[in-house]
Amino acid sequence: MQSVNRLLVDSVHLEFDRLQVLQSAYITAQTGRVTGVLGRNGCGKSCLFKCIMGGIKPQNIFVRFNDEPETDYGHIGKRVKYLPQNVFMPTNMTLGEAYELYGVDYDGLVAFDNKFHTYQRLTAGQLSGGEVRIAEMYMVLNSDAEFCILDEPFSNVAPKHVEMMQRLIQTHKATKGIIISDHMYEQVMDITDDLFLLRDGYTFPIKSREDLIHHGSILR
Amino acid sequence: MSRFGFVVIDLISKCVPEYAFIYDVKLITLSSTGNCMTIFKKIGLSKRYGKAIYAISVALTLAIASLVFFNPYAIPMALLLKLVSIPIILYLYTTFTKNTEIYFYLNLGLSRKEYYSIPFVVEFIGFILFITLIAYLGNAIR
Repeated sequence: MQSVNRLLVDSVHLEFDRLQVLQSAYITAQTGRVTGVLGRNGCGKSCLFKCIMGGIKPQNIFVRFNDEPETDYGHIGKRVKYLPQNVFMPTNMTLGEAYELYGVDYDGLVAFDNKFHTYQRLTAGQLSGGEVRIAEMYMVLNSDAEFCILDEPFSNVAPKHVEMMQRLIQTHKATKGIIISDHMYEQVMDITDDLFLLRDGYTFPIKSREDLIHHGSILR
Repeated sequence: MSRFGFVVIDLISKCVPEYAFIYDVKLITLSSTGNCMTIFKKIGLSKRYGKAIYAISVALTLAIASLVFFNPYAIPMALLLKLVSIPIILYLYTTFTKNTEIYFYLNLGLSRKEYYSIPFVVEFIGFILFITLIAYLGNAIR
């Protein structure tokens, strides 16, 4: 039986100069569930994820895995894999090399989308934005980690591949906790078990579409 | 890294404040829970993203070595030059490289501190060894 891992991120406080981006933001994730995070442009979703990963140093953050008394804040990447909003694969690294570093079988990507069959020796700079996105997302989801954070994985991706990615996420949630954020809120709501809205630096749990309307995230 | 290596690092970092940041080498090794292969793997990763850092630092090392070769009394100045160059190179690197690439390596288990410090620490150790060798060579030839 797959053990259930839990991730709690709480009390995230982030400000740049006098601009408060996050105030007591929190998020939770666990194996077997997909957690969605919605919010307007500039509300701090990416900042929240980068704070968790250690790319940005917030004024305060609390991260806990399961009931472990201590957290190695410097090496969160060993347990949580993050797919940033923009291309993060090094431009001079081939897809094959990147997959080897991450310990992911490239043949799996070929099985996911056959056109990657001839792309193994191509670099991220030689592929289209959408193709790189698919390759990066597949790599992150299939890498060995307890949790995955996907920041706008559906951006620049064709509708057919969005549906394929949704199915991939549903498959992988059985073995890892997944946090996903995207502006395509309907596609996110279709696959999430728990949903949060980030607004004014705070996190609000969302139960239905009406909650999003109430918070002003979408029009009626 | 052996216990003797840690003792040497402790001694150097405490006695010579300018060398204090080689203490990071000990911390990095210890944080890998005693697995020395992990630190070498991290150094190997740094060769992928830190090519520009290594290239500029090595070029500077060679330039400084030529000074030391002809004048061993220039070693303190050489050290100062090297130390001053580190924040400048770091600033140029963070300004001109894609800032999302760091997450590719954070996902592999590097910390942010290791990501930025490993190339400089490794190159600085190489610098010290190279300058020492060049100073001896210069003296021997003279």
